[in-house]
Amino acid sequence: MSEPRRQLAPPSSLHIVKTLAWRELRLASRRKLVRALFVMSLVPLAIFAAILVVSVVSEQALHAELDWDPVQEFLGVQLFPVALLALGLGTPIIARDRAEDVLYLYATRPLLPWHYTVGKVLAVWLPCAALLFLPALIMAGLRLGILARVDTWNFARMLLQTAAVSALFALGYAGLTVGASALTKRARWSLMLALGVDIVLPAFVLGAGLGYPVSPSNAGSDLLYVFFEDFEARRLMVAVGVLLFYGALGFIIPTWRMSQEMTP
Amino acid sequence: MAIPWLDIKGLSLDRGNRRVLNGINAQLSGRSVGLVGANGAGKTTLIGAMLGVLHFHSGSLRVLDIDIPRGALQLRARAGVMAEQAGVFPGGSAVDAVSFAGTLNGLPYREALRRAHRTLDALGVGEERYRSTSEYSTGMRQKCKLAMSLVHDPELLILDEPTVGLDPGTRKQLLELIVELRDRGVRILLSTHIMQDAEVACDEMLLLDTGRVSFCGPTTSLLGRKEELLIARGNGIGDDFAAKLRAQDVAVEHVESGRIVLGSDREAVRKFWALAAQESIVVRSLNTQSRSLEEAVIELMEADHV
Repeated sequence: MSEPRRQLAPPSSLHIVKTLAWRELRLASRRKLVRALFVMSLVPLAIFAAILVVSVVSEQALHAELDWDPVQEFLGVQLFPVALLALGLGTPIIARDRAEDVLYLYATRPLLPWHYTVGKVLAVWLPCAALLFLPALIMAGLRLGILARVDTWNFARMLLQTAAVSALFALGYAGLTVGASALTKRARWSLMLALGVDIVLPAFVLGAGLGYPVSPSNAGSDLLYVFFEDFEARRLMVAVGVLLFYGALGFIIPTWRMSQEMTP
Repeated sequence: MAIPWLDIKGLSLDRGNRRVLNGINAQLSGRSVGLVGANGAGKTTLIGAMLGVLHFHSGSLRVLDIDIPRGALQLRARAGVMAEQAGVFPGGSAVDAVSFAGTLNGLPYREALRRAHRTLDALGVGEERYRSTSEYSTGMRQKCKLAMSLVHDPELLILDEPTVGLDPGTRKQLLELIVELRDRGVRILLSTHIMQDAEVACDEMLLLDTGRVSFCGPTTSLLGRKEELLIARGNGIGDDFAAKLRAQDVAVEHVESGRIVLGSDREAVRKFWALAAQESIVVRSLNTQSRSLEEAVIELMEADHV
């Protein structure tokens, strides 16, 4: 308190957003549930890498081409633990601040409501996107190194597709969980709300005989299908639209909530 | 004359359908200013307007020579705020919360962490700084909130009801700390409905009453609006004695069996002694008492409502 006074100027938006996201990640890393989900999300990588190596050894032993490509199937499996991680990270993220009455405390700092929202969404998006993209990158690298039929162009195309799936899927889930978190004051209610949208809503839509994706999990699966199996422009646009819609909700709901509650 | 750091002209602000601040005018330049008034007088709303989180519909507001709301972010960077109704950043220890507050105000993480420890040291927070803030007592939470508002070394410290819910010892400690900060050159805006707190820590007062300014100026001039009181104790003092004094135009403030409180001007004292001798009253004690700020404020507010 007795140090010489600094020149106090408002910090940059980047500094504020980074600070908010970094704090959330630091706090999340201390929670056992989040740590367990993080470890769980690394399990498919280990399993699929082992299967890839075994299949290559088998191909060499049998002198036959099994034509098994692990990346798409890996991503299909990986979506599940990443979705769980997003739920674990995102659902308490604003509910906890609201329960502790600290939204006004943020308003006393040199930040704007959108800084707060972007920081919170980023704290969910970043690990989820990384946990989809980085293991897929490792898989693709392994695949390039040991599968003779994979060339650099094939590798680069797969990398772009994986990056798109990772970014959009993580955005959809970050939006869903952070948006749900801004609607309640208890993390468990946010979790119920997010699960309701992600599981119950698609079940109703399916029951009504409609084949459209309405949740981030549906849209993520559709995205994988159109990128890696059978390209359909219309299906791609619907899946991207759904994920962007949830992503947008993740910005709109918390920013609205902040403008309501960032007052004394 | 000192340049006012808080300059409010014709400020009006509505919340919902209710006018909470009504044409406020004030220019304050004191090192520490007490924002006083009853609950619901508009103190917290005025702080919200100063920080730019509540938008006023008429008037102008300048704080530290910064135009509000245009320069609200700039003000928030230069000010530290200890908000009454807000808690502590959740999910970690006091060190986490205070260093996070520092980084939000622009400090690099390592610098914020270093300053967090120094600030908590200065506030007398020991090893408990590493415990989760959810386990803290009210006093510890208040210290943690004060540390969060001080970590970036602000020019202006805005304290909204900082002593509410504290035990007398912690309250005294906190007030001493506020006075120390004031003496070190930090400008203080202390919003409180506890007049004793303002009396201890503030050299200027802005008294709000239902959204209007009842008084704005030095604390001494608010206290000096009325002379000291005379308190007499003795056998035979009661309603009859008070009635006889009143009949001689002596202002009797209060009377009960064996005790009377009256104005201490020379004429009142002379009449008191004369009547006491005439009525054979044995006066056991006679004291003067300065009027407290609380009494001064209540009187001022009552006068405004007449």
